[in-house]
Amino acid sequence: MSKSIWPKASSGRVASSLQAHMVLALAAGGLIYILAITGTLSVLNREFQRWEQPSAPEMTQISPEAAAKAAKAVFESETPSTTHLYINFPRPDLPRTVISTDTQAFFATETGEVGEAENFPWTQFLLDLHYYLHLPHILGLTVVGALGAILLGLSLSGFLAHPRIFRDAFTFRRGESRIAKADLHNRLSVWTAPFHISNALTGAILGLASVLAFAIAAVDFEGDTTKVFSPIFGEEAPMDETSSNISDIAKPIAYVQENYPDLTPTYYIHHDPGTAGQHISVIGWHSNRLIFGEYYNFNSNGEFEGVTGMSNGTLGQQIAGSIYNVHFGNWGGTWVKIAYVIFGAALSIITATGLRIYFARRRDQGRPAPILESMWSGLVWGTPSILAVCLVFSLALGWEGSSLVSTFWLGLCAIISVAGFRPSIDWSRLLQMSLTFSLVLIVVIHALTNSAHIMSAASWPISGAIIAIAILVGLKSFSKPKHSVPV
Amino acid sequence: MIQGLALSGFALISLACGIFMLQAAWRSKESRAKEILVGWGLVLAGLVFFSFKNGPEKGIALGLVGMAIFALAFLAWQYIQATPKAAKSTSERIAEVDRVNWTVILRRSLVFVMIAFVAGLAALSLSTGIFSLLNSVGAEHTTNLVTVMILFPLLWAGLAVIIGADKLLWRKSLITLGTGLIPLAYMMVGM
Repeated sequence: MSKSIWPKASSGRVASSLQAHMVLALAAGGLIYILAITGTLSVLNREFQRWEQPSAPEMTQISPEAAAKAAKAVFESETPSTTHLYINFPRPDLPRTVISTDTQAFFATETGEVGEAENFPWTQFLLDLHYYLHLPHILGLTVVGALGAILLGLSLSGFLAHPRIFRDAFTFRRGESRIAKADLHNRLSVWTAPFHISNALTGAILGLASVLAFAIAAVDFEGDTTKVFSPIFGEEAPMDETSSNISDIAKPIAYVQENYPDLTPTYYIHHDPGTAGQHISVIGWHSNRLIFGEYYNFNSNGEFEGVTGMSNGTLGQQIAGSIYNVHFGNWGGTWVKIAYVIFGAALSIITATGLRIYFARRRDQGRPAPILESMWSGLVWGTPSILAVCLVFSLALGWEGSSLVSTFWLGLCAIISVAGFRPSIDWSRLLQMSLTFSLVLIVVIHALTNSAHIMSAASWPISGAIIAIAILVGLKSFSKPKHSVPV
Repeated sequence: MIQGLALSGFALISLACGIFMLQAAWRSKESRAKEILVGWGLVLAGLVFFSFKNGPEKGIALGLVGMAIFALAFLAWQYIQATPKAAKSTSERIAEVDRVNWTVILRRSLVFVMIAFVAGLAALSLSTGIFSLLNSVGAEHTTNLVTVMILFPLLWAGLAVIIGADKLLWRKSLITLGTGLIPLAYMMVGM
């Protein structure tokens, strides 16, 4: 056998990196797992929005006049007037027009009539869990950002701890042994590294941006945080609250459509409508870019004033404009979303198996931690189970907001506590069965409450996916080999 | 249209062949430097083809997604072909339930506080200091801001790894506090 081309790793570096990997995982593994699961589901948040409200009017596009008619009707229905008026234009994954203000949102029909109010309580609950862990917004964002930074640390220490990262890149043994679990953990970690490193980084950037802005503003801008971000996203025009008629809504939209035929308008923002200082931005999506879009800005007469520079401005603007899309995977259509779901599921598995390897190692060393191990099983399978239970309550009983938040956190804490008190029970299996049952119930309740839309494009893809997951989890719960360690 | 499809096709074929060559070379017990080079070359060619089709940034992102999917597919194929091995019975291995004393709990709590808070504050201080320094020498604002937005979590991650890896409490405390206090002193002098 010829000599290996791979450099030998220092055993001291490997040991200390493994130590760091373990410490970070123990410090934040549980919350990172919750973020991984909710992040995976959040990739499909637009699909879930459609599925929760399949009766909403759908269209592939809407004329500027129809969108303007609906937006004006919503604006005029509000007293006092909103300070912002928005139009969400239809897009492939959410083919609906939504008119929203500071306080409410309505669907618009293709002809510009105002339809039913937008309502997707479970998806909103899911997004709030992923963005903020249901904490107050700045605090929640910061905690989530900190978890992103720790996930980055886990990736870094994991790579440093792996002495044969390329050599073993395709070594994948199967089974219930610790080495098979380590293979699953390491192989998924290596091959999904571009995803989980970029996602941890972009998540941390999004989460920690507010805190960083406060610090920078305090040091360099006399506490004015708007001066930190306005060079990137554009400066708000000075307010002039003198009453005026709302300016022409259709004109800026039509301008973008006529002058930039390669762009897709995705969003319309009317600042301070009905005042002398009103101004407008239309966000246009650039199909071959990672940026969320470019702001096309108009004055109160609907005259084009220029772009903000997300597409052609400074490097900083273009990178900042790409962070959100890179994190959520909505830059490349359905196939990229499916890939992100696979990578997100892989990250969830990496997190779950990481702590299991730790517990298995402790057992092998004669230092078992059965209570903690059982609690970890409760968290791993309890998180998706309780998310599914929340969806059942939302569909069947119309629960939303704080009801769902308290159900999730109290339910998850209860599961983890009971798992700790009764470690002899196979919680993984029990919770897999519970998840299967809940998933079946979700599809049945959704079909019963939306019987006219069962086979609509808004319903069947998500219902079909839920059934497929129910079958997979159900099979897993029944196919567990005997005499194995908890999985 | 046809040119676009052809480019996508070439990109996918290059990526698949590249990953196939890499897995064959890495699974071999012998040194296969040439195959590894060709494998990486094909992966790179796949990224280039995607860039021609979808522009440099989106093309490379699509290429990385494709590479990961092909690698996972190869792993899944290997997983299906492998014979599962059952775990050994765990009951014989259990010697005693681990007990921790208060000193250990206190030490672990301190490490948690250092990772979750002190490292974050130190990284925040250093990032803000770097922004302030670059701002004072006239660096372009948006690029300066995005640089420290990226640097902040990376610094936090790096410090967290040092805290987790180093067994000496005084040394990791010194590194973390030094990282935070030096830029803080610089900013206080400048204010």
